[in-house]
Amino acid sequence: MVEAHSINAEHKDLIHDVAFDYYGERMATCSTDQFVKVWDQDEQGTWNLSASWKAHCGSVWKVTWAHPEFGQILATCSFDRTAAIWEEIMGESTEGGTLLRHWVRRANLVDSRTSVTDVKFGPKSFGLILATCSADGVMRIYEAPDSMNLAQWPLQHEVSLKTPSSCLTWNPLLSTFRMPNAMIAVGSDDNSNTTNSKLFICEYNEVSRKWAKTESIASVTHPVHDMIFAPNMGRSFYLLAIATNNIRILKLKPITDTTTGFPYTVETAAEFNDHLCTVWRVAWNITGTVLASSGDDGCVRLWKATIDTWKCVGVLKRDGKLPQPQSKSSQSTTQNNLTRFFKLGQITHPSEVHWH
Amino acid sequence: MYKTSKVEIPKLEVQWSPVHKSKFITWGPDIRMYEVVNTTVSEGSKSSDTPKGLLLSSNTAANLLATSTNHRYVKCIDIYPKPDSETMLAIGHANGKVTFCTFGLATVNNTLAGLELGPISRCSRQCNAISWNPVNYNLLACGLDKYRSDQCIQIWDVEKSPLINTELSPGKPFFEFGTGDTAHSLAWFNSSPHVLAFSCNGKTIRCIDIRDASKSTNITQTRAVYGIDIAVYNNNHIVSYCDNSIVLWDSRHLEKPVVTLTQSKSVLKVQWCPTRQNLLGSLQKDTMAISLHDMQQSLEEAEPSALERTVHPGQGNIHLTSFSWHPTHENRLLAISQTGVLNDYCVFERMTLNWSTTSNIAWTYGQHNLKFISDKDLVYSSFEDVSTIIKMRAFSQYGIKDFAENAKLVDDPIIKNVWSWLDLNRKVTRAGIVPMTPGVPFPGIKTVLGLDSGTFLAKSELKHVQWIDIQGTVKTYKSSAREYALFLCDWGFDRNNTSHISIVLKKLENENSYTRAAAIAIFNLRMRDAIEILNKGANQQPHLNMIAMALSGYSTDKYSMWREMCSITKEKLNDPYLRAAFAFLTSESESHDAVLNEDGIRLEDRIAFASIFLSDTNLSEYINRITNKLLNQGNLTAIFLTGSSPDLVPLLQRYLDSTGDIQTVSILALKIMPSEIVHEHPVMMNWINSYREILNQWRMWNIRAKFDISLKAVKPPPQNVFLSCNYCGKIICPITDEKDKDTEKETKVPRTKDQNENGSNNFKFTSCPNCQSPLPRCALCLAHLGTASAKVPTRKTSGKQTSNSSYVITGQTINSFSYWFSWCPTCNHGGHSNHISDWFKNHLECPVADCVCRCYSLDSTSRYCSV
Repeated sequence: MVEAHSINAEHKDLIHDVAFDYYGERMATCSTDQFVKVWDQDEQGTWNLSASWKAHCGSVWKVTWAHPEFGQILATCSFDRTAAIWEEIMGESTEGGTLLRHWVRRANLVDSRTSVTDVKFGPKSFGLILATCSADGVMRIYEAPDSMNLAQWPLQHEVSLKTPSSCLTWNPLLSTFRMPNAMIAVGSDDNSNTTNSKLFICEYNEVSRKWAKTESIASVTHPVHDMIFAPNMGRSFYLLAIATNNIRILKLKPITDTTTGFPYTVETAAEFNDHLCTVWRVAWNITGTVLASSGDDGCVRLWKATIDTWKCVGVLKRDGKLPQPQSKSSQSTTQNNLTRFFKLGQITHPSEVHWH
Repeated sequence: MYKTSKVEIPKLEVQWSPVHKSKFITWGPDIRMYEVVNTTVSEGSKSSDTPKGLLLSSNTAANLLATSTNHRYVKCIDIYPKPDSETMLAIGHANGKVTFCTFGLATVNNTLAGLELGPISRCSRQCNAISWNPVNYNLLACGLDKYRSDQCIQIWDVEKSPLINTELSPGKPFFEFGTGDTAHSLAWFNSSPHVLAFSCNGKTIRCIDIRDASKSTNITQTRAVYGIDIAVYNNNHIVSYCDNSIVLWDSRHLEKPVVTLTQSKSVLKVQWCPTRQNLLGSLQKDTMAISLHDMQQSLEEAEPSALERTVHPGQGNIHLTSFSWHPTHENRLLAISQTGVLNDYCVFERMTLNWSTTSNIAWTYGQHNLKFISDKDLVYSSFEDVSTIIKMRAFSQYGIKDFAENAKLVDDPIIKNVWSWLDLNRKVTRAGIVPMTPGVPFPGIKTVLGLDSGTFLAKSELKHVQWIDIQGTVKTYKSSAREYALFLCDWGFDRNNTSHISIVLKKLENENSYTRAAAIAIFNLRMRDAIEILNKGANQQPHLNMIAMALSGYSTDKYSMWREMCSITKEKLNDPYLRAAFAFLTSESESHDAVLNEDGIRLEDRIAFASIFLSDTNLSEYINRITNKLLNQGNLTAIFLTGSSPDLVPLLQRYLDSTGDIQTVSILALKIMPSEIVHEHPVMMNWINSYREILNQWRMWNIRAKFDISLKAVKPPPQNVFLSCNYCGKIICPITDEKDKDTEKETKVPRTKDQNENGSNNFKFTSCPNCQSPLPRCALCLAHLGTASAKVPTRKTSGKQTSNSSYVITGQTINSFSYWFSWCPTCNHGGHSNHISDWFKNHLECPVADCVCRCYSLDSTSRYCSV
């Protein structure tokens, strides 16, 4: 039987972000209720709440895990104009010998004067490095010089993008690359106009030892709600998925024989309007071959490339069902039974299943 | 339809009933009550009913229950909120009258129907706002226009106050306020139902307590006096609007607005979402969208801001005139357009989603729930995520095993073929049949033909070969390079030796590849064999009989009718091998294009054919053409041509770019490229490290370690850890450096303790080999730590002792892990690793007394074990 499993997250308000750790065994959620919750998966695959704490004095927008090599570390950012670094520490043991774990705030990053809209750890090879962006359009890079001392996060760089920033993503460079190749894409959700670019590329300049905005992608002019680079996985190009008024996948191909300018060719690999007017979030699978997206149509859609053509390979309604032209239950009845499991229906004849 | 006749109606309003969850009213010139029905439910049983309803959304429709047309100049309406009551409306008119309407469904319980609350003053003044008290249902507040010094707020108690029948003496309101003012809008507080917020005179909003109106009231000066609405969740939140601004107020600090949201067009309506905190809906003039403002506040003094978002109920491009949130259903709203088209819309909360490395997709559902699917679910398999295939193969030790085994572990026919071919390649090169090329451990066909670096093909010898069973000759070419290529195509049989060929053909017959066997027989000029094979195959595929018959008519005569007819009909054959065979027999030129471009034939057969029948120039041109074609496609079969030459890298890259199969690519690079090249090649190391990263993320550390071993097989990793004596600081391992090992095969190590000689094979150091100071003790067994490193020198078994003071080390064995040193980098305590790990199975703190270090739990990864 196929089911979309359901968890009652017990947040008192809208959940803004779900983040999995490196191994995919832990999950963190954050919400408008100002709480962050951490969930651990047991051997049966069930998610159990292991910690829940009030992290900020405003909506917590994003939560993200550091590489486990540095310990169990989370970073959060919030409407309260701060970002915070959290570390899990062992508490006293209970009778059963199991450890009580709890999370302590190691650092509070208070440089922003407006809501901090995104926070992401950099690739492991750069050490403990963190990028944030804020509603006043400033991208900031923090670095912990000593990974054993999480209280010290000096602000290393500030790049002003002059337009409200909503999201950022690190280019997932590999361990073989070093800092000079560092790249961050920052998106803006400024909806005051639809003519200016809403997507900027910032790069680290080895000579000036500074981060700077090096490129704006002119084709992206609608507010960007989320974006993420695909894991590179040895490919000769980088894929950037963008959630804006549609789903867009950009292909960044390095140009080897260039000395000046932006050393990548940028082409749009795919563009889909299936989510109606707004796409909210995008996420790649581990190999960067399948993209999941969510949007205003209340569906999760999955996209995959065959050779160079992208197409939709799956649609799931937000309640986990396959979309069927004649749905048997209305919205209202499903909402009253929040905790029940939803059967996706048995697929006996694949040809009959309604895939787009 | 019914609706369309009323197109000219300028203003239409809509409101859900607070009592009946499925009913709503619309009003404009007339008032209508509808009931929402679920179209999908009724479809089966009463399909005849559905067409009557007005479609609201894909699964809801509205049935018109009643229409009330005899109300003129309706200004405002509110629905009586008492539970279990009939739908009853209080209607405020332009003449100041308030009437009650029940759509003619009046029952005995309903005494109000048809009654009127009059204006006290004879002069009519407009009733601007009307609102039932949400708790004390009997109270009805009316906001009226200015008339001399009359009060603009009147609150009626419909149960207690003397109710007035139309013509009889007017009653007196329960409460009055606002002498000589104009009321624009009003709203009751839910949590304190005796407090009313209202706006007056176009410049103030105030809150009054109807129990004691003389008490000082909250008041503020503002132009935003319209559409006062109070949030259900948070009664302190008040919203109002005027022109382009939506203004938010906090009833506790009414002096100044909390925030003003400026809109691009003038605002028609604002309403708090009753099912979600801090969500405000607004509608602007001449738009098709409803704006949603998700108000964000923090405890600090920062100014709140709104996350803006627009939703488009309905598809048409007709402007909306009003909307109404459903009182209880989550985020449901009903919108009405200028033409009266209704749309039942559910605002989906922003869904956040993420995809874990373990193939879980999680997303939020509504406000509080998470949904997820994993690769164990059937639906996940439907989109053929390559990562699940990689994971499955990794579990089955794909890549760690040998070539032939790898071929069995994959389902993809191309990859399967590649591994089988590599197996063959290794066999023929090892056997010396195909010469080794320096730097290319697995020569491809291009390599053996000498086409690798743009060089020309070695000259070959032209031979006219006689058909075996029939008259006639065929032009063939022969050279040693071509022979090697044939071996690499698995055509490495002696083509003149009948028994060799028949073995090969037999094998193909057993695999039921009759047509392939027949084609190969024909390409080897054995017409009789081919016909016999087809006849055998006819037992299974009867049409092969016909083919056999057709073949038997073959003659080498260039102008026969057979040839003419066959070249026409061959195109109709479905089997690529048969098509190729006839193409070969009927070909007029020596280019044999029809055979060589037959993509249905295995590449190795085509190349083997080309190496027999093509002239040197044609052959090199063909090989280059097909190589480029396959390279561009990223077809891994091209590995037959490239072998492990440098051309393989772009091929693998292309294959990787199109499939994402990092596993096969990194394993191929590792297994068949010369390892010194791999280690220096950033692109290939990038692949290998990417694959290792995936294995790490899946916690397949054992598999990754095995993979690492094959990666470093040639180049061992540099030593990371050195043990030095606490006293003299010298390294205590007998073998410390790779250089030493290479230069000095025999290292002399001073003998330490006599006890080690007593029959025990364990060579133990319990003291520093330099200064003889004892090594630290194991925190648990209290014995001196013994073995120095993973590699233990073994003594010569001959027993030849050169001197009493040293051993001659002749080799190394891996020491068992349990005797390794292990220590905590935080507290520096340690011991034998098996003792330490046993200890931490049951204990939290360090085994050393007084040390409270929680060594084991400091390492967060220790909770995970390898999969």
